[in-house]
Amino acid sequence: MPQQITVSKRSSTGSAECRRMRRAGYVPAVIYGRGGEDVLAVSEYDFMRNIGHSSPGVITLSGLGAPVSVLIKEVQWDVLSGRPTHIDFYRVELDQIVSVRVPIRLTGTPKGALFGGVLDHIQHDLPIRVKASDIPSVIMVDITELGIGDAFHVSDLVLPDGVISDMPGEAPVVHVVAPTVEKTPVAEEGAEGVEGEGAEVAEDKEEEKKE
Amino acid sequence: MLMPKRTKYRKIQRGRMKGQAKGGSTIAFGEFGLQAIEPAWVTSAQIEAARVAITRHVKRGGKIWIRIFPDKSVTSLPAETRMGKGKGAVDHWVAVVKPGRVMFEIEGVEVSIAREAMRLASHKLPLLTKFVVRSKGAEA
Repeated sequence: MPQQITVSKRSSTGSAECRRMRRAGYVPAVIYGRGGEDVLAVSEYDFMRNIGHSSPGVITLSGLGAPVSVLIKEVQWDVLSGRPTHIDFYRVELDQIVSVRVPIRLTGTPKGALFGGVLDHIQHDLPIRVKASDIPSVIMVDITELGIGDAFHVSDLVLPDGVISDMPGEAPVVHVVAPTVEKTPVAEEGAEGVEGEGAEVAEDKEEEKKE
Repeated sequence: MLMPKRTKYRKIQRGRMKGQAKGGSTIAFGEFGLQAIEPAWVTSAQIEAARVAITRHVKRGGKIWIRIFPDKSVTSLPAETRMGKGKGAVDHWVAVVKPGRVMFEIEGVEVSIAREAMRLASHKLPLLTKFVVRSKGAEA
């Protein structure tokens, strides 16, 4: 059952009007794809409550006459407040093949981490091609068997039926690396260097005063 | 400490710090980050101090990314020198940080350890910061 949010059409456009809308609690949005373009307004409260930062796949828009199936193509966020500033909706048919990015979630603690290995999650989402109705919300990866030096590649992912990866199979998703232990000595050397330089400067100043 | 290997011009004008960060405002590599919420010049010494604070707190675990680089030279006149006689010598290097910029990222540690490491790092920096988590946007 796709998630549903209510939108309304708006007639006015422009940055000043968008600012006014945001102050009033609405997020400016645009819809495009099959059937033309239109500018919309979405309640910020509804959007954050129902969608937020999740990747819901196909959602249904109501308030445009007949319900419309769309993908959220892009959400722009304010970097400081974390509030949405603009939303792009892409109109799709449910049997249409679409390209989307799906988040990869890791489960379990790798064996290598017990021996001091550091988990390096390289690929946080995966570009896939899939039928719009079958978009998975997340791809789970069990990493409990990974030892130090082991990697999990895109080709090792277990994808649901009908999902095709758009990434080369040899690309690593996650790997466990040996810990680096050079950090502390470097920091101490750096601190000594700074002190040494400070001492030199102090000596120079004393010489200047004598002169 | 961080500084450019080679520059086209040794001394540059001070510039302004208007507006928000144009890029580097989302977490790109790690799981947790430290985001600037006001503009400032961050010196290479401050970046190094923050890095050391994070590294010491997470000990051997975790992976750290530094997302800012001090590529702007700052000059100063020697002490007890009369004004004039040209621009001073390069004294130190700074990174121009604008609000929204994610300065440090960390991965492979628990959220509580990451939060404390970033808190310690923030005390080494000359600006207000906040702790951010990947894909969850801003947090406390």
